[in-house]
Amino acid sequence: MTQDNAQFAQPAYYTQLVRAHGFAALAALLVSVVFGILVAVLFVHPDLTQGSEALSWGRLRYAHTQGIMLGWLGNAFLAFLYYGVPILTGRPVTSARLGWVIFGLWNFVAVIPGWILVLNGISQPLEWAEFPLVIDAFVILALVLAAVQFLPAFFRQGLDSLYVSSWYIIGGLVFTILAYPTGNIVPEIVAGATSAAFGGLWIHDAVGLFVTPLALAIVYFVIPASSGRPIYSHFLSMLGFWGLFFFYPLNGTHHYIFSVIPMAAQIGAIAASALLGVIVVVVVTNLVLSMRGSGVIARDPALRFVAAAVLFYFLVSMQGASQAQMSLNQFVHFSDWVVGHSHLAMLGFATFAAIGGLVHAWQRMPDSRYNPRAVEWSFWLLFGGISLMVIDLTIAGLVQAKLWQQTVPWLESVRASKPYWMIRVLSSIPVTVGFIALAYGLVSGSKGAVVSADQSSKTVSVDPNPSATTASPTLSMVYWVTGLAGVGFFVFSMVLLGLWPAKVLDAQIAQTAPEYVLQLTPSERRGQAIYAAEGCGYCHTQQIRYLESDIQRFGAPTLAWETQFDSPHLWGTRRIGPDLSRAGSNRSRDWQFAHLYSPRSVVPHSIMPSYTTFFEGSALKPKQQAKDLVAYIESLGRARAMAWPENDDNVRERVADNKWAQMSFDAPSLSTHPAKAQSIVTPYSLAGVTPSDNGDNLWRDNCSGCHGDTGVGNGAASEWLLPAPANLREHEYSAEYVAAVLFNGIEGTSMPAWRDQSAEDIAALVEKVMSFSAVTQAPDASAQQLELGAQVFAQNCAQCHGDNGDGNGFAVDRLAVMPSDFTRKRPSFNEALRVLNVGVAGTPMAPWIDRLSEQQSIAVTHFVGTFFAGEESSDGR
Amino acid sequence: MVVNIVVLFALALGGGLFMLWFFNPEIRARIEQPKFDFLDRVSALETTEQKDDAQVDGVTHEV
Repeated sequence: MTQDNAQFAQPAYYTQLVRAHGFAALAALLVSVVFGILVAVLFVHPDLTQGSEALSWGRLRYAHTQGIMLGWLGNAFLAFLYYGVPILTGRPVTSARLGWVIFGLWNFVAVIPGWILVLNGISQPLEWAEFPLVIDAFVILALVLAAVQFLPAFFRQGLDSLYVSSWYIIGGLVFTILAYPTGNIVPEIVAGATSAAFGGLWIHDAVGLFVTPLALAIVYFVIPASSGRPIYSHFLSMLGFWGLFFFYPLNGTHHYIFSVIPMAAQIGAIAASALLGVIVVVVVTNLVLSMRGSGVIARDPALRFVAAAVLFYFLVSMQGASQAQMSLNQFVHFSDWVVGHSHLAMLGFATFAAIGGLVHAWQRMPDSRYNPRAVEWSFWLLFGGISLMVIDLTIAGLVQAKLWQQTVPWLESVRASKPYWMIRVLSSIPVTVGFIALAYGLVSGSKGAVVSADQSSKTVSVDPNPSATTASPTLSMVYWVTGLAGVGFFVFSMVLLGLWPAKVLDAQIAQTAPEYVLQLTPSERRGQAIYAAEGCGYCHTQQIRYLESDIQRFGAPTLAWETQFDSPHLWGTRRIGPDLSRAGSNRSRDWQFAHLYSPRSVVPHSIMPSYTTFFEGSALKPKQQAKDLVAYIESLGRARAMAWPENDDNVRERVADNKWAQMSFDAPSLSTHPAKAQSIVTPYSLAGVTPSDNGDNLWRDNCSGCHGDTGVGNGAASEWLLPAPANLREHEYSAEYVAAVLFNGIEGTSMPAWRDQSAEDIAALVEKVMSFSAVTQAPDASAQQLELGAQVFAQNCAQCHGDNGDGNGFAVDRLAVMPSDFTRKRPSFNEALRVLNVGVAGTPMAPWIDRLSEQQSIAVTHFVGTFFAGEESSDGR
Repeated sequence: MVVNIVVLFALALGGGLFMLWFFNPEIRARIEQPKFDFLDRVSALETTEQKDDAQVDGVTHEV
């Protein structure tokens, strides 16, 4: 036994601090799980928390992820450090008093206030960095104090004597202090693509430099301590350690593959991701060999949790290395595959390692209660629940990815995902019960250390080479050099994936931006802040990737200058709803208000949360919040649309060697949103098309929200839309007119286009629409009446509706909404008379009741009916 | 270029460490030693009779 070991003749860990952080971890875990369950349930019951701003989906999502990372894992790691560091070093930590300061800072100044702030809408829209800046400052302070608390003990020991867990603890604390500001503070200072580049670094560093090192420190601690055998190879463990710290920071940009961030940085990140996969194989091989002889399912619950953590670590790392590769990334990115990956990392690997550490410590602390049966149950419930959740989300991601590659409507991916989202909710039951069982297992049962001296004495390993315990200056020097190289690699990652892309992007913005870019108005800027606080970016991206599938579905890929004023960026990493880069002109303002107030009234299968608190009880009464948010949405894509296509043509030559920028310039359309109404109406022929038998379902899913189930225009959203949805019972249409309206939409109204529907489905909808018509024969009109009607029409109506009633009068170009084309659309006599008298709110059609006599009104109503040509009209307008 | 730098650096570092480990038995033994030291500490801790209090950093703490 060495001198250090001899000094370690008595326990020296800090039981009270271990317990305090352990219980805080469990409490934070249960709270975070409740947040997570609410987030998951809102996918299947989107209105569950309607009316509560604090419990809106986005805010809960922020609270969930930060709670898991800082509240649960942060506290669990700190608990283990108070147990493990004195054992690893044979020395006490710096100060017990400092321990309580860190405990107070971490929980009562960072985690709890952080939750309160994000639930009250004060946050930052950055993945794994959602707590606001004020909280970030205290987290950094706590991390620095934690370094002061734990690191001196290691350095007093001498580098060449450090066990691999010690290295991971040192690395985790030092590199988290370096990395935390890059993801939490820098993206707030820089903007657009540069903000995303730095944010991307932290997304990976949060896992790679904070969670993974401290989790692996526990794994390397518990395996030998529990099995009584040393790890297989300390050399391999150190190789893995340095490999992880060299390559993890270089992974960040793989969250933005096919984006405008320079491709060289993307490829560097992809290569580092692949190399990291190789390193993980080395790490896991060593860990598995270290567990040899412990059985497939270890008897010790702590070792069993840790063994499962190793399994999850292997799976999540192989998955990560694979999905960073372009061929797979373009397919699964933005889908639930990635959400499954995150849960496998944080809930699988990290959580199982943290539980293993807590259980191991609890088993050995004399004053701690420990209930092995409850912990046993906890393991199996968590293992089953998390496996189900991850498998479910992975399959859901593949289903979504496949549908996104096709030309089917976006909503199909939402519909197809619903069963998987339900299974995710169900999977949370064993997970929650498992966590409760764990908490119960650590507060119940008998008191006193479980591991008896007799048992553990049988596992003592004898130092095989006492002479080698003398200090090795060469090895110390190697470790110092490698350590400096590690810091160098971190700096390299910041330069390669942050600073250099920023420089390239700045140059690209200077070369490609229009001379004047319209910035956001104060209202739009307030709306942007609401968009950020509500977590809209966690369902909607604002980046069209440089991929054919994105170009086809959304339009021209996003250029660097388009988001140059967004600080922090709102690019997003998930698409539950569609990309919003060019959402500005896709829908009418009425539709946007109706959609915010009651999403399912206009999109029956939508799972978007209802933001009723932004309104005074009706979509017709938006509060300032709703007005600001809609103003912001209407601004999306505006800058490029205003400069298009002239600016693209003007700057194309300046970046002739940038094939990605050329790809954006070459895109056939700036926005390909299928619902965007077209000002130039394109004829849509259904000749030779056999209607599908989906008419009823299509009507229910897409049309009934506005037009009602029976087509009379009384759907749930109808009262909020101007002009009101058409009453289809009171109109006759020609089939080609209905087809053209379905394909083009009606500009100036809330009637969207349905270009994402197949020709067969459009044909089915045409049949469905025409089936509603119940127009009866108009009363007979005399020749005198028709003559008078023709005169009235020529004098008062032809300017807009055209001499031939085809809606093509000379004033048409000045009208926001196209006048009715009576050659292809005939209102019933009563409907036409009603409209003539009261006008059509929301259109230029004014009421004529005070300007025409009753005789004139009846006459012109008769006359209008004579224009209808039914199916004979085929001019294609 | 960037990929080359990353890969070559990784190979050089890994290769260098491997050579050091392979050709220098003393270094090899020294690199492996911490795992035995650690196990000794853990074993010593677990074979020691648990006491109610322990002196840590000059302060008495509950254990």
